[in-house]
Amino acid sequence: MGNCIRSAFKKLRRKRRVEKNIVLLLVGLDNAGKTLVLNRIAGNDDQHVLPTMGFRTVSLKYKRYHVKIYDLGGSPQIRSIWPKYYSDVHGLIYVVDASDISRLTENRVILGELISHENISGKPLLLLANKQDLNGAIDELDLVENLDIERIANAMRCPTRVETCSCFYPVSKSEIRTQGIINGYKWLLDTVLKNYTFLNSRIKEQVHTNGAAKKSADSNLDTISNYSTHSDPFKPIHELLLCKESSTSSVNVQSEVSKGKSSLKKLFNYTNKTAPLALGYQMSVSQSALHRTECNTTLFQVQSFNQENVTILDPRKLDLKENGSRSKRDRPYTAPQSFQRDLSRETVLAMPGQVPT
Amino acid sequence: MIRYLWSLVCYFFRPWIKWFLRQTTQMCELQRICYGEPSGAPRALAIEDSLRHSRDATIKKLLIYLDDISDKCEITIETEQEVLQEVIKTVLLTKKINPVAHPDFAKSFGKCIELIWGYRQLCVECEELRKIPYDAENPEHEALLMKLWDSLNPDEILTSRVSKQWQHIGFQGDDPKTDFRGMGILGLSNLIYFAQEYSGTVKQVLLHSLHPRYGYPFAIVGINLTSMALRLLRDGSAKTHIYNSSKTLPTIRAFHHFYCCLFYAFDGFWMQSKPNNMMEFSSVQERFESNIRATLASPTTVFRLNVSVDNV
Repeated sequence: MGNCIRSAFKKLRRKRRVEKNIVLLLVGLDNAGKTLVLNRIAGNDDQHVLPTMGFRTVSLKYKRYHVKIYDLGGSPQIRSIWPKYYSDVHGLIYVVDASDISRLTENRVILGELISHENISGKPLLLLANKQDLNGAIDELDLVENLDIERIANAMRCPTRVETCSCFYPVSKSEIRTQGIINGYKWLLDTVLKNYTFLNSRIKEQVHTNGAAKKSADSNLDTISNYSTHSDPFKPIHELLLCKESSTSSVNVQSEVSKGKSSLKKLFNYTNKTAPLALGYQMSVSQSALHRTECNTTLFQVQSFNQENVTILDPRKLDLKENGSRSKRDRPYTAPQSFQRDLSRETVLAMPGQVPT
Repeated sequence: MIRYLWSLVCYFFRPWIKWFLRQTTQMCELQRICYGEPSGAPRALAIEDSLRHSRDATIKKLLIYLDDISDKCEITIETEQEVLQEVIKTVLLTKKINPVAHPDFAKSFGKCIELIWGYRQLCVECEELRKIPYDAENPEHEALLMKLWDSLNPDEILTSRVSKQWQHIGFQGDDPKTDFRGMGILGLSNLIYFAQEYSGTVKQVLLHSLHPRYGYPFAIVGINLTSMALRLLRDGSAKTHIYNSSKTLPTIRAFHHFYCCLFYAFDGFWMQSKPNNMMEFSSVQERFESNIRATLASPTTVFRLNVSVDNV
């Protein structure tokens, strides 16, 4: 009898548990300490972590909810893929290396883009100022000021909390230092839970619209973000030409498609998410100017990537057998080159601090 | 449960079986292994197993002694002969083997000992190297880094120490120093060895890594593969390869070679699996690792780099 009741209770509880899943996204620049922070959250003491390639998921439990954390790699090559995960998450953890002052500008740009993404705005954000154990690490007040969080977070209505933390510590101080991570984590989950119904319905909605958009729009976003599709060398040239034509007009097409749903401003933000920013990139004085030029920055990225390929795929260096036929041109693939030329005609070359060469 | 019972049965009946075989063949177990198993991994693994299960006090003491010196990395080319002779003498005496009647035994047994404890020493050496973090202030480390650049890109001159060019070979930022976290100097020396010893292969792999669609960051993947190679080395899966490929005492070069084979195989695997983007790295790597483990489980496995690639 008792067993019967107990099993019935268990079933009930299990049913309830399965219902609520929380998904969190852990991002930040490379070498910010994301993986170690996640190890601390999960209660793992491993101190030797590798640069994360791609991503890692960790499943945890909080009260009676399943928490899943995506730990994304922070290298510039991977940042272009981050937006694919934005629509599935309930909350965000952004880790900043507080001791590396030289990268604060980069952080500001990346974080600004992240928050103003249409799938992120309004979701709770936990900002961790990591590496407080190192000399010269700035505290949370300086960080807030430097990253201009208050304005962006208010504009996008992201509930935000900033915590200082460190993953390395002398044994005696361990509790004080990691407290930041744990407190912040708890706050984030509680905030997510307060707004759970709203956030969850949004996620479901986005999944739906994403599916529909993919079918209709033939994923125009991808063609911009994955510059690779244009320069795939194993395609016949006529295909590439077609591809090129569609891609040059893709921005326009896309704006027409989604004008109804979101404002143009948001749209430009969205396309920009997909490209990693140049290091020396300075945020322009007024936000509106940034929005206007953002599309162009994306194109610049495309261009610079192509140029990188040029230098490396240079046939003279490769000593390939078919050297003779290719060596006349300075790059092996025609299509991306013309694509690139088209772009350079359109882009504003006099933009401050953005021209890579 | 069944396994536990089986190990109990083995524990009690092993001496009986051994005694019986000893009486019928007039040889001890070590001899039977040395004559019966083919040289390389099968023999060394069997010898290791036999020695570890031995209940003879002298043999146990001998093992502790060998473990001790290999943990301190005291087996070198100079001391090696001395150690081996001592070990062989002890075993011949305890097992009452007549060296005149069995001249081959000492030779092949010595080889096995060399491999087994060389491997153990190799693990310790790699761990030591891994523990050294990359230090930008240390001129030796900086020189190593420059060497890596020069051997990977002999035609291109590095414009400055902190440069965007590092991203061409797959580092995360403009300064590679932080990317060696976790694997330290071991990751760097692995990459240097690969770039220097197999310049043709590395060129091909680097070219693949720059593939516009299926490309991957070369250096970061390299460091992740160092971690994988070290994992295989530590849990003993790499034994088959190291035992089979080493002719003499396994040194750090054996590990480097193992790494190069892994890198080359991974490159092929990655290109073959045609991933959509970098996010699939962890799943691809998992599949790759289980493939490699399955290959290494067969005792005759030895990885070789395709030499013909170098001549293309």
